[in-house]
Amino acid sequence: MSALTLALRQPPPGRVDLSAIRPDRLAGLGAAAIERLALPCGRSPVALGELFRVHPGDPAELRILGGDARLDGVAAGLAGGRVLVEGEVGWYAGEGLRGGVLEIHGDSGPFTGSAMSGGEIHVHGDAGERLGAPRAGGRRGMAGGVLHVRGSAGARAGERMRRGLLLVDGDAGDCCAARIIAGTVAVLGRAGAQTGVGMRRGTLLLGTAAEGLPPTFNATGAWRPGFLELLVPVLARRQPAWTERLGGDPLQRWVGDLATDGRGEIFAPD
Amino acid sequence: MLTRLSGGRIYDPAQGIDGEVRDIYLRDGRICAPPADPAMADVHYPLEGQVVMAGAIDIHSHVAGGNVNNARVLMPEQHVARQARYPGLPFGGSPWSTFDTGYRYAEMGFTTVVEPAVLPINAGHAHAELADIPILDKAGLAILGNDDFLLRLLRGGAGQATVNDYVAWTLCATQCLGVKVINAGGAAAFRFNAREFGLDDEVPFYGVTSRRILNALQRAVVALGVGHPLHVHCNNLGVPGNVDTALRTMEAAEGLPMHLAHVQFYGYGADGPHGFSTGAARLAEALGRHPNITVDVGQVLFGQTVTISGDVMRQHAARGIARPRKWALWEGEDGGGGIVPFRYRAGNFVNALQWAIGLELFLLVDDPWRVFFTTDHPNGAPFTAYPELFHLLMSRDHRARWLARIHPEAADACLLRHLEREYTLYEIATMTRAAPARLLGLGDRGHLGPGAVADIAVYADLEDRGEMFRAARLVLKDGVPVVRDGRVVNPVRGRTHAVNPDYDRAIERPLAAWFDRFHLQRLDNFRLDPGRLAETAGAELVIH
Repeated sequence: MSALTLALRQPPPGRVDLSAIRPDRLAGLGAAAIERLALPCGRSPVALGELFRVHPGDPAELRILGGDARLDGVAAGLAGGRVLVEGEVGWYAGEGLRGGVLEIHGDSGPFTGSAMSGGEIHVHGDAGERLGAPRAGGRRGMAGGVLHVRGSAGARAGERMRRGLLLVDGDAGDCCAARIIAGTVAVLGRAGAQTGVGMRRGTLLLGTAAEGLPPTFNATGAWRPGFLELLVPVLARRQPAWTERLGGDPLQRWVGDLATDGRGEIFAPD
Repeated sequence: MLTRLSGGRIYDPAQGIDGEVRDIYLRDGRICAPPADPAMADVHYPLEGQVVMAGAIDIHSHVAGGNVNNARVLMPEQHVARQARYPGLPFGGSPWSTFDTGYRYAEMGFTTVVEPAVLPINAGHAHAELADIPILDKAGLAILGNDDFLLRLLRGGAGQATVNDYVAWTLCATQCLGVKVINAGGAAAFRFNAREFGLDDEVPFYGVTSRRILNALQRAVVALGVGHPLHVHCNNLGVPGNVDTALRTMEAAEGLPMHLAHVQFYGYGADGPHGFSTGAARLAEALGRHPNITVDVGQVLFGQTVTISGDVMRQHAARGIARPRKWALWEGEDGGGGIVPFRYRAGNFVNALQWAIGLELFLLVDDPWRVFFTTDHPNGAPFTAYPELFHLLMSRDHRARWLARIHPEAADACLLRHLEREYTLYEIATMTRAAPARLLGLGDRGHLGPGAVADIAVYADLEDRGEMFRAARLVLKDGVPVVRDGRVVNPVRGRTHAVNPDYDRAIERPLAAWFDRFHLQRLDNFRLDPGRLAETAGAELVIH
């Protein structure tokens, strides 16, 4: 059985909250019932059928064709199955993801993968700010799973991360891995100012020489800890360039942020 | 416009109606006498098989003011930014906002809520927030008893008449419905580094005892004819063995009316292997001997909450047990406040016994007119947990299920296993409607007789009382339907109630001098003006 497909008819008139549209909630609904579902759009609800053309199929695989930066909360809370977007998405895509796969063939807005705890998110374009970070007021960011951005990420990527793997193939904005509690962040391109600020524990790998680290990080010289031989192949399976960037040479290592717990580590080539 | 509610089973203890099927008629926001012909009604709600009560009244719930706001700031994770659940309403879905408070209360059939701790210096803010809470009628109780002016009066040997004038002036200046005293003198003593303070301890520098402050305030409230008796938060809250303090405070009332708040937190003995035991039976027995005393329970329910209190001494002592580990304490003009987040756990001996002590109080005190339904929101539990508490009071089986889950030593140490009593709907209606209205001196609510405001809650009669009280089928506020099937449909504006007793204006001369000498503001800026409140905060004041 082919995927259940929602094809956007035209750009939505306001910000649309798609967080209620999840494969598990669509199971057993016919195309007509799906078209009748009310979506919050701006300040008033609108029927799903007005915004999307529905092609019936197996909801365990949901395809959204024709993205828009005003589609918020795509695949939020996903626990299993696949959601595939051909185009751009707005804020909170994959927020609180627990399992399954979200694939975005386009850019994604702020808070992509916010506080996700499992599953995988692949963003083929650029991601907005606060990738994986908690919403205002939340205490924990990403707590598991894999979040892979093929393009670049905005400011505060991985903020308050607790566990899991965050990969950025392009550049990361300012305050990358800010306040992370634990977990692994890997940025192949350049990382912006104040990288790792407030880091408690966790590991940040940079594929490009580090610059502009906060003054509360201590440089500990060049070294090559054994665990890299295990970690780098994992990264390379998803982005082969890592093998060459972090090849066999010793890496520069910093520990910090000494303004907090100070047990985080940053590794970067010379 | 005439509205008819027909076929519902009415529980109206103020009129002695216990589950009779009757029709109720409303006109212009008030309940009216039945017309000659039922067909004259313009609107008709058939309520066959459903339970009809007056709108519920919460006499003690911290919903507004500076300390509540401090708690919001300290606990951002309790109100993580979310998009509106109710389309068309600003911030409608933001948890722990004024909107959220009004909506959640209304959905359970509550129509009047009292914020019991308005610091006079914070009264402007408290009123702005109260005015912003939709649907509900609100009122505040002004805190006195740790303020420099009163303590100076008492130190100087001022007569009761002067104290009366000062209390009346404060009620008018803060536009509150009554007077609350929190650990009388304790916050003042805390400033002089006292860390323990009992009823007969003297406040350093002022040389007056807690008992003296309590008596002066209580007499003032009685003399001024304020409807609500002095609302007392005793000394030694939460300290094992403090049941003696509560009993001595009852004696100190000397037969005059007094309300003791959240007595569960004073129902502690110091016996047993853990040095912590239930004192509920002694409290209940003492209540029997003191018909002038009313209490609300301040029930503990398990889960995460945050304790908000003007009792800085107590909150300072509790800072070490904060979960998550963060707390805030401040000391200011009229007292202060402390915010300590806490998580009550069923598997913890002390927490489990606290839970049991609250229920024992509910079940041992035989008079629902004198024991009130509160969790001291959010100190014992957030008000959103009320349905669970209704369920516990009304179902022995539900209590038995919980007794099997809590810390086994606590389950053995309490009397709960032996208490068979189950609250009836009539008793619930007494405790949450008729009695609170009488206690607050608000004669126009809490009952369904002609002339009462048309604040009415209708529930489905479900076996599961928790489910029943979680979502009212229909709530009318001033005759307007505001909740249908457990969801708010019309967020009307509520009013704020206050009393303005008469006093001798001569008190303003020493007060103005005191303000000029010691205070940050001048007296005229401190005093709230009802016209300004309406203009700036949108508060519609009703003066009783």
